[in-house]
Amino acid sequence: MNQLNKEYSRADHIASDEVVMEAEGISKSFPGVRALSSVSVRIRRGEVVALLGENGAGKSTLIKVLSGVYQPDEGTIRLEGREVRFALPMEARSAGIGVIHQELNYVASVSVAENIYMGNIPKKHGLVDYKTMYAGAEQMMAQVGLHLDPRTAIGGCSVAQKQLIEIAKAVSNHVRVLIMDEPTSALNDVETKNLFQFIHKAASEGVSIFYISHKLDELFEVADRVVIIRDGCVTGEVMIRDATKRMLISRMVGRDLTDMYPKVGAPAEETILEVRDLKTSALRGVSFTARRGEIFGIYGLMGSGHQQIGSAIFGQDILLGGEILVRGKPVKIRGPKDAIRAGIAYVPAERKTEGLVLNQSVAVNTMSAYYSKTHPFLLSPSRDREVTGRWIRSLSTKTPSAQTLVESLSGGNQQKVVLAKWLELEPDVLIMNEPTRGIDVGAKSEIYKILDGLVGEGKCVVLITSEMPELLAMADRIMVMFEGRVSGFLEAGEATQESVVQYAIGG
Amino acid sequence: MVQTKIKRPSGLGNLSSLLTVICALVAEIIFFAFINKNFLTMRNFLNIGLYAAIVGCVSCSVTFINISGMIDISVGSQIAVVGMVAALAAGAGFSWPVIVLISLATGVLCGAINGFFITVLKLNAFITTIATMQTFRGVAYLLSDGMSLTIPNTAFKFIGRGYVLGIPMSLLIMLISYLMFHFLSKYTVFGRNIYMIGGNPQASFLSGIRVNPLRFRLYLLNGFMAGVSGILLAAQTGAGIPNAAANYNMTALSAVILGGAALTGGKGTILGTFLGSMVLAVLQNGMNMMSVGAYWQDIIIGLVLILSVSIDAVKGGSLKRKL
Repeated sequence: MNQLNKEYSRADHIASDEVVMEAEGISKSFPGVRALSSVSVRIRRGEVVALLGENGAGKSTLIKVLSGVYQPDEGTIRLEGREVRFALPMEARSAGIGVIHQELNYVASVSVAENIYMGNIPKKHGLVDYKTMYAGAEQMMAQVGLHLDPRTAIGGCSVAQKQLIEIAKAVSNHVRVLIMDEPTSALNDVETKNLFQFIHKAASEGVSIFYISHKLDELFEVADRVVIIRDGCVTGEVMIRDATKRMLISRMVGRDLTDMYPKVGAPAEETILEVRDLKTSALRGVSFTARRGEIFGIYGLMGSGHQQIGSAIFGQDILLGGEILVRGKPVKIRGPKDAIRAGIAYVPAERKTEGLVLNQSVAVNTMSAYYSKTHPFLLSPSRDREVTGRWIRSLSTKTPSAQTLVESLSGGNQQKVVLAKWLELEPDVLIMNEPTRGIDVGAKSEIYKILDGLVGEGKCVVLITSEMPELLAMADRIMVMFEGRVSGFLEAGEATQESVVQYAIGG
Repeated sequence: MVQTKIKRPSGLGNLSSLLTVICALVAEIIFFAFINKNFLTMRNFLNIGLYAAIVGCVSCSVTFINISGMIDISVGSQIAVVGMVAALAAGAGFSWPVIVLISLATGVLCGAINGFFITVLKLNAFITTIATMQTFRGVAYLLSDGMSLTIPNTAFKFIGRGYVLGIPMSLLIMLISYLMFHFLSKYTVFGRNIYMIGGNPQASFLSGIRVNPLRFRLYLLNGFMAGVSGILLAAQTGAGIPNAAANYNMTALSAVILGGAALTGGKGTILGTFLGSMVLAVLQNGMNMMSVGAYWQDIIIGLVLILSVSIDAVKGGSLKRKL
């Protein structure tokens, strides 16, 4: 679909000395987190700069500051030498900064042309000027090598086409700086190759491109320079011709673990959970075993399928194949209720949409899984009070009362309510998906303590996480995922950040 | 950490959320008592109860449907179908228990049809019941070729017209229904799960609640209560009338909304619906006694509904929000 006459490569990038955009000393904090501290980046005309970092390193925040979604707490942004302040994304756009987000924004049911011109539909005598709109859209798409009927509904286009449409939109805006956030995460090899052709061509025409990706191999093909970000700071900046994979990885992960991980550990006993060749729409045959008394860590980068393992085992997703064995016996899990009966508990990643009924009380949420498992006819108010009170005390959940609605609790305390719900069932296997996401540091440490206590009681914890420090500090064994498959197993002793990342990027 | 405002549960019993509807009811009664001296009599109140019973029964299960985050606007048509089936069964010479059983089964069948499309094919509940509302109505006409059928069975008509210990049978059936639904909503796991799936179906599913089977059961229950309402309708009018109960779905929904339920689910009480249906019934009765014309009655009922919802919205801070 992307027909270009000439084969472009990195050598075609202009990469002049003229600095187009420069951000200096950018700091940005959110309640409880310092997302960026004094970050400086610059990009030259016709240059492709890769931003590299782990999940949560601060890349997304930086993009949002550059494109006017967030205002920096400190620091300045200069565009062609002049200081600029973007109060709104629209201002950045009209200054020539285009962003291609990971999640594309479009209205699926309307035409490609209308999506391109959204908010700026050409009019004639107060009516929509379809002729100009369609002709203009066709011309814009041609610029990025896309030949589509502008009347087709955008919902029917492939992800690659939608992405090119977004790029066309940005390019038509006389974009000077194009920011691409993991553009290849949903593309196949051919589409990726076409995208790179476009990037090379744009850079040869003087467009400057910030390119964000986890995939190191891509950077060597497309980028001129790599800026590495870790914990909100720039930790390295190298020309790609001087870089090696090893070096990029070590700059990306090198960090000390603090004593926020109170790991005591427990002797691992017999296998309690076994998964054989599990297949779903996101998993392409995953097998592993987890034992009593161990924290089994599962790691992967975004889109590797690691987050779907929990929902697949717990019966949330439709299984396309595979077997799940608990205590050596195969169990048929048609839904969460069957999983609960088999002694499995699952703390989902999205606390607010999947973990809790926000407009109900702490007591109602705490008791929900208990009632699902035992399904008595009548509620037992005395048991509600006793159980909820006991968990509020033992997890030191900060709530005014058991009758408080969970929506008014903080993230960490909400997570404790989710935990209480499952711990009351005394599950043999507790699967936790990103259990500390969006939780402040103190509550994080408390949750780690609880996990450690659980394995001490001989339970098995499956910890699915995208946070490297958490993984290395807490897991006894680590399984790493890449593109829906297991790419490696590591014992706690041998796992290093480098080795885990090595597996996570597929090598 | 920011100390957020502590909210008390609004779903599971809290009188302050019923304040608006209680005030409305009290204001109505005082107003009509001053206007007409026959209003404040036992006889009139029993009358109000008698006529409120038909839509009152189905309002119980409509409340559950709404708390669960679903909707059913086909109840009026379901009641009409049940009424026609009851009249046909009575015409065929069946005894009253058989008529009752056939009628209830018809209601449950209607509920099962709605439930199938909503929980198995997972169609939108609003769209499904817009369709079945029309289909069921067509069936009601078809059953008698559009004619009204008189019911000869006096034992059956006693259900709608008879008195037990000086209290109308219909009113008793309605009160028993409200008591049973109140009990279900407050004291059983079934009732609590309705609130849970209405508040967050995904989280409820992951807590082990089988969400779609529960929804299906709620539609069956709603069909059953439409059966009860249809029996009361047929027994009170002594006839099967295919175009009867046309506005009952809206009356039931209005009662539920007046009672404080949110159409988005997770909120509402049976007590609230009871009070809401009484507000509507008292209003209608009072206006009839004042000989207010039918057109004005519609206008006033609509205004009362929008006024009460507006008061709740403003109390909830709608003026202080941008969206």
